[in-house]
Amino acid sequence: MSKFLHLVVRNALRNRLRTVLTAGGSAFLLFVLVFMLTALTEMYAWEGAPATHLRVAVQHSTGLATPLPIELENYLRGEEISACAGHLIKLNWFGGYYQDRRNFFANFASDHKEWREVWDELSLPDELYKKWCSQKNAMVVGRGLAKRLGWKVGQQVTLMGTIYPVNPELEIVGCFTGPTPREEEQLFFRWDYLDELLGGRKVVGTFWIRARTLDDVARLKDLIDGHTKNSSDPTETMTEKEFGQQFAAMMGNIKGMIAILGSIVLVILVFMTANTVAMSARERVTEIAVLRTLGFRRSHILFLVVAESVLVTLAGALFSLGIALVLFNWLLLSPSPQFPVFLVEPGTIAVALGAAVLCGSLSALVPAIQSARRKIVDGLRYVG
Amino acid sequence: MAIPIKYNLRNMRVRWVTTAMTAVGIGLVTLIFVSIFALNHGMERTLVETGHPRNVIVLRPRATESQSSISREQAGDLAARAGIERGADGEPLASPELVAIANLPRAGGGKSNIALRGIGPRARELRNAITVVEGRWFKPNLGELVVGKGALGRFEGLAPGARPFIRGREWLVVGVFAADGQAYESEVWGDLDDMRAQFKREYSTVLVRCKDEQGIERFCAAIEADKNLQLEAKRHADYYRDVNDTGMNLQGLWLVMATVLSIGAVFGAANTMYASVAARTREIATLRVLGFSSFAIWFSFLEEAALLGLLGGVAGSALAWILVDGMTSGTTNWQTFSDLAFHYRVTPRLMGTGVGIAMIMGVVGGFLPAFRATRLPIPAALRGL
Repeated sequence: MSKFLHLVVRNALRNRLRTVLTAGGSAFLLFVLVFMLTALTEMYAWEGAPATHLRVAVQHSTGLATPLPIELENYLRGEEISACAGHLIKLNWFGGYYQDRRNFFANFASDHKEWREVWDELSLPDELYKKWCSQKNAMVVGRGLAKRLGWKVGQQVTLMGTIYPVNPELEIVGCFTGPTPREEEQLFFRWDYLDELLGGRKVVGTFWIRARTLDDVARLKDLIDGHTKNSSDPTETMTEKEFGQQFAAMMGNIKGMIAILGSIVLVILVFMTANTVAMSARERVTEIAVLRTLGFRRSHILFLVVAESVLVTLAGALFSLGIALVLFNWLLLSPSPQFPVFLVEPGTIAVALGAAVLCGSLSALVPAIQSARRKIVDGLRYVG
Repeated sequence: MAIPIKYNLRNMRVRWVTTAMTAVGIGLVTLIFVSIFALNHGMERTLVETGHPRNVIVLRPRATESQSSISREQAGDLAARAGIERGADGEPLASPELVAIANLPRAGGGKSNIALRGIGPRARELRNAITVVEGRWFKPNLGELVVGKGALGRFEGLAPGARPFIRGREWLVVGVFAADGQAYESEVWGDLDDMRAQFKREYSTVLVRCKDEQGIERFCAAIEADKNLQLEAKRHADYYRDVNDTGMNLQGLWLVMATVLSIGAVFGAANTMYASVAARTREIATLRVLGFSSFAIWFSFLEEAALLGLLGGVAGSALAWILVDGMTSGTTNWQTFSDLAFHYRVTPRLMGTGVGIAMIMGVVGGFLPAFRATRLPIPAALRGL
């Protein structure tokens, strides 16, 4: 069939205005699909963290908003836990902002010792790490975040506290990099510095532990939650994936809503494309009959009509994906301060292309079958 | 002379398949458009404080209610300040409150954060529109709770009679309350002292009512100036708006989506109108020969495009009203870090906007095709080439 591709392309280019409008329409509709799916993958980005990860989070069973007692650290550093856990840090979501409240980004107060071992996917050069350890008000910033906010190494930055009643003045000592731009949209300053500002109240948001092996992850959960079960501050110990899932659960049924909206968008696409395919098919009744007399089979006609439609929607898909990739993945633009980055995932690209092929074929189905079925004599006699 | 609109209507009926397909496309875009804004409307509705205009909230600067903390002494100091209205009993209208957050199982799986509000005897006096819709109000010191009707549907085990285990103790739900659609309906309320004992915290905020308009500014300025307090006072309504502004800031996303979708629909409408002009080449030339001006023809096609939009718009808006209006949903307000239930609200005005935008989609899509219709060379067109 591929030898007819030339014919398909020529057919598509015959009424250029119509083809451009159809491809353009599908490009806009598919852009919305890509946009929604990307919003979804960004919201669930943490949930996608590999389950095999060895990181384990300990939070208060009442929820993240309730702090943990510092005494727990002694237990977590004791023999029982150390047998399963290689490294441990305290990590508080500081929730501060820089200049404008809408400048949302993740900022944490974290223990600096063992930070590199627990966040092993982030890389920070040795001398910068040493500097962070030697200077109490130092902080390390993700490369992407620093670029976005226009921060330079050596600059003094004041974070405005919201959860904590303090505004730490911090010096940027270095930038770290991560495997994707997403990990670079956060910053860490020292937990002991936050504690000093708070007057030594020893507030702990979460503990993060790096288990020695995968089996140790389950063991850690049992040990820690069992230990605190009857205390006044029971804990909930979970894998990084479960930790992320709790945010996804809080988003509510956004997943269902996006699925419904996405399907409606595809239905619109089918209707719009079907309309134009039908117009073309009506105009070409006579010439299809001529093709049949020349020896084209019904299956060839079916292929010609469907292939043309798929070609047009696919062109629209490629165009919209190109625009989306340039805007979001290359220029790193984000449509909402809620999302520091808005990266189109390979899965989303595949879904968009699949949707284009599906909608293209679906909308061509009825006209294509009609064209293929029509008797040659009827076609030749047809007056449009 | 204008071409009668009957001409367009009959034309649309003759090519009803094309008309219907285009109208369905525009209609579905309108459906999405109206639904998106119905959601936004519903969310905004919950975040408007409809309480008394002279209510002022005192809390830690930049904190939300659950993040703020105020000591007993500070609360006493605040209530004793000048300019605060007094109740029927002669005591100042000031309500210290504790707002805490707990992670509870949600109806339909998963867990989510719920806001718990510990209140004293003054809290209801300071807010209007809090009504008990089921059971009764809680009694102090017994660990009783009343649940907002929004939270009731979103969380599991909060129905009256239930005994939820929250923050180290068992509580008893004794009633359900409504708050005229305000965000309070997504909360659980209980006795201030009960909650303080469990959460081991002092107060979060103090809500007061000032005597008069000038008093508000004086009161706020005095709190600001008192460096010992390190607190901030603002109008209750302003606080609500701030929380809305940063916590639920998804409007940008919706707007991008709605705009891009509408442009997609414009392309569809343009395609249909071009085809409709092309198919009527001879007719148009005949109309010109009969003496209709090119403007009349241009306008007639534009009318037809607008009708197409109207058809889709009415269908889409009606569908949105049938399917979406009153639907409940919820999400987490990341600013307060707690769950917020809301209803989709399809208002008549929103439906009108939907129809209007659908007509604009039609007109924009029909603009260039209609123009083409006027540019046809008459002799060639009559020959039907």
